[in-house]
Formats: sequence, C-alpha cells, structure tokens
Amino acid sequence: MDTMMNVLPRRRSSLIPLALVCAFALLHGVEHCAQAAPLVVTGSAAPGFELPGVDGAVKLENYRGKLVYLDFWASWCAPCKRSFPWMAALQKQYGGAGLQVIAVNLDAKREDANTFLHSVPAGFTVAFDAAGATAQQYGIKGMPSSALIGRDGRVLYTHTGFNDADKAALEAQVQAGLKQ
Amino acid sequence: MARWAGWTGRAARLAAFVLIGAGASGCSMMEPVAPWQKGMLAQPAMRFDSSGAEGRFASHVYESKEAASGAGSVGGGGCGCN
Repeated sequence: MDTMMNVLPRRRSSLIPLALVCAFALLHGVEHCAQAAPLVVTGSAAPGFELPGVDGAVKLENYRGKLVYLDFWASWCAPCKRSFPWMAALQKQYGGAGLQVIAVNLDAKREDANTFLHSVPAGFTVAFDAAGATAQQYGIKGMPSSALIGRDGRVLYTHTGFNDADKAALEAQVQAGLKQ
Repeated sequence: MARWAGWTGRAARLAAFVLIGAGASGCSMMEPVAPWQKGMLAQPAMRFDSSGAEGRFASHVYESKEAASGAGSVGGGGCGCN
C-alpha cells in the first residue's frame, strides 16, 4: 500500500510534462501551417526589389508611373514557356501606352535561365532572383505567378498559373490598369 | 518505483518525451518546398511514366474508370487546374 501511494502521484505528475510536450508539438505544427507567406494583397503597396537584370539592375521603384506586369518564372516550368510569347506580344502592344513587363527568373542556376532565354527570346525586361526572395515577398503559390502593379505602385491584380483560357482575362486587367 | 528513480530513469523519460514530441509534430518542423524550388521535380527523369503519351493514356483510363482526376502530379505546377 505504501508503495502504491508513492507510485500514483509520481505517475500523475509525469503526465503534466508529457501533456506540455504534446501541446507544444501541436501548436508548433499549427503555427507552421500558417507560416507560409500569404499572397500579396490586392490594393496593398507592391514590395519593392532591386535585382540583377540582363543589362543592369532592375529596380521596381524606377517603373513608378508605369503599369508593371510582374511575372515569376523558371526555365523548368512549361506554362512559363508558353507565357513568354504572350507576354512579348503584350509588351509590344501596350508598351507605348505605359505597360512594362518584368519577368523575374527563379532558377537556382543562372545557366538554365540563359539557355531558356536563348531558345525563347523575351522581348521585355528580365531580372534574376536565384534566392527567390521576391517570390517569398509576394507569397507566390505556383509557377508562373503574376502581379499587376498600378502606376501608383499598388497591386491591382494577382494571378497564378498560365494557360490559353487565362489570356483574355489577363489582357482585360492590363487594359483596365492602363486606364487608371 | 525504483525503476523511475535515479538519473537513468530521468534520462529515459526525457528521451521518451522528446520522441513523443517529435512524433506528434510529425514533419511540421520541415520547411515546406516553395513553388519555385520544384525545379528538380520538374526534370523529365522524375516522371513515373516512361513516355508522355503512355502517361496520358493511363490517366485517361484511370479518370474514366474511377470518375476522379488529379493527384498525379506535383501541386503548384502552373496550369491552375487540379
């Protein structure tokens, strides 16, 4: 009986740290799920960046007053490849009206991007971000992703993915953005 | 009683807590792979099927038999579909 009295409280007290450990683990998991950077909010100021480009640095601030179609791409992403001729056409058609397409490359290796650009000429501004810091800032959820940044530097529209069906809606957004 | 006493018992208990904690948190301590970090997964060598046509045929049969689609690829691939 004496041993029983000794054992029981000890066992029970050992459950408290166990419960704490489990609670910590659960909270840690929940917190981690919420941690993935959220997609940049429409209407908020677009996060600025300065990245190396094909010829010279590309700084978002320098495009204030223009409508910026910011695209995130990588050489291994097939829809990105399909979006390139479309973005080039967009730049050609609306460049005069104040549109600037900036395509941020997220390849880990610069050579991959160079090979891609050799086979698919851009026809618009390309910047390189091997670390993916800008993608993190904009909280992109897929490849490719794009953000339309208004003349005042605010995010007008965001889009994930690219296929033929998206073209009309994206172009309509560009046209609406140019009018602002 | 004697089993739990002493530093060996405490060490064993601590180890058990750490193990339970690690198990309960699962893989949540790992950083999720960002969409732009999936370059390796996009390599042709990472395909499960030997050819694109064969893969499309297999998934077509699967989708018509099971009335289900998706889950055959990596998310965030860019088509915007499932």
